[in-house]
Amino acid sequence: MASSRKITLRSSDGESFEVEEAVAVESQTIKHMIEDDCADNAIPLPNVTSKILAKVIEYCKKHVDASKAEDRVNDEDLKAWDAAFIKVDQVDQATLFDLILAANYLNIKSLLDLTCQTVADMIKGNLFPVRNEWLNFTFSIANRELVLVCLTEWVAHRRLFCS
Amino acid sequence: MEEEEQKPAMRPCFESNQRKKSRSGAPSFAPINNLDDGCLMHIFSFLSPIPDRYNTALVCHRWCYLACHPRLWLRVDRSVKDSSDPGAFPNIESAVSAARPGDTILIAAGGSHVASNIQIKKPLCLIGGGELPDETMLLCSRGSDSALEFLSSCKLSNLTVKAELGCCLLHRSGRLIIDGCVLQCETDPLDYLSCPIVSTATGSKVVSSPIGYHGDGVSVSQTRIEGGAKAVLTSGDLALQRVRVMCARTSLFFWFDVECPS
Repeated sequence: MASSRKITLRSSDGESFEVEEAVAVESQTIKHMIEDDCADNAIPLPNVTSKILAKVIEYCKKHVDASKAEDRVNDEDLKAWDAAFIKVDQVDQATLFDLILAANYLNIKSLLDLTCQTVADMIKGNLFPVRNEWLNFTFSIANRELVLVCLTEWVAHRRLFCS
Repeated sequence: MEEEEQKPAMRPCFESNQRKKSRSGAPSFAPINNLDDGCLMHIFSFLSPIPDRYNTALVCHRWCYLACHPRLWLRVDRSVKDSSDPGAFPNIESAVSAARPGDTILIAAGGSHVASNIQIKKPLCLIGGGELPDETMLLCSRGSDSALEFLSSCKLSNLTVKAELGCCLLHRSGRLIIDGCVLQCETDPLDYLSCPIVSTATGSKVVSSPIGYHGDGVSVSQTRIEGGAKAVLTSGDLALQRVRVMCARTSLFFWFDVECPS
């Protein structure tokens, strides 16, 4: 679209970012604000700093450009770009978690899934003997049957006391 | 492994024999704990329940609460029409096939769910969503051998399984735990194979562990068994052990194990 409206987003530390409307509505939160006519002036985002907002805008811009007909980017290329985008943040964990919080607040599902999958991969697959203080015994995670019994016991325990 | 260097920031109060670290300081120093519960649960939903989500449940109280939270369970609800909710399924077969090993499936109360020869080959936990087991019914119609067939360790809790002809639960291998359920069979069966629990496991795989017996078997606790030629039919080496019955006003509650006699 040749002329699309520009939306101004203001971060928590007062910096303003001007983006096209198509990029801004990647965020469901901002989309609802625009639909409810709250976007005449700059949209304040008190939970997002300028550093994180810049990265979020970069992500949204890339995804909007990728889906435009003229610039159709290969799915593989987009995935590779996503991996590179998030890899920069693997070094700085604080930025990664701030991105999760921002994606959650701004309700950008694809960014939230990307960042959460990254953290899950960091947690995943770490098989080693575990010492559990509450249950007071040591066991190897390789014994699947045993793990299931304990896991289902915890499930039952939580259901009794936390529901 | 490059993951090792990133680990310290994410294990607030976690002891690992491999690293031989003394327990680190206050959990609030780890940046991952700045995330709110919703985000952490979203992260945990990407982890397979066994072994990864189980590992995270051992890190601290908060992670245990979130990793075992019902929001991460799969749900079976007959009224689900479209696929908008990724965790909700219209019937038990689709939920079982979509589940990962170690997942928990919550079956909605009210009405009856069709369960015909559903084979369960991965460790799962099936829980009924009502207050009482009577509110969640799994119905196995005539023509099916069994409602549920277990080839892996599973747990059933708070459910009613009713078989019009044939058996309710067919146990092939693994450890089956039945807690607080109701098993109903035909009251005067003509076919002698109509029993609530049929176990064909041989009990050859006995795993010794500090917890106790962990071979193939069935553990039943606080379960009402109604109808059927006899409560348990075993064609393998397993036998009934430690049977206890409690007589309530209108029904009998059973506790027993089906294990390899030692």
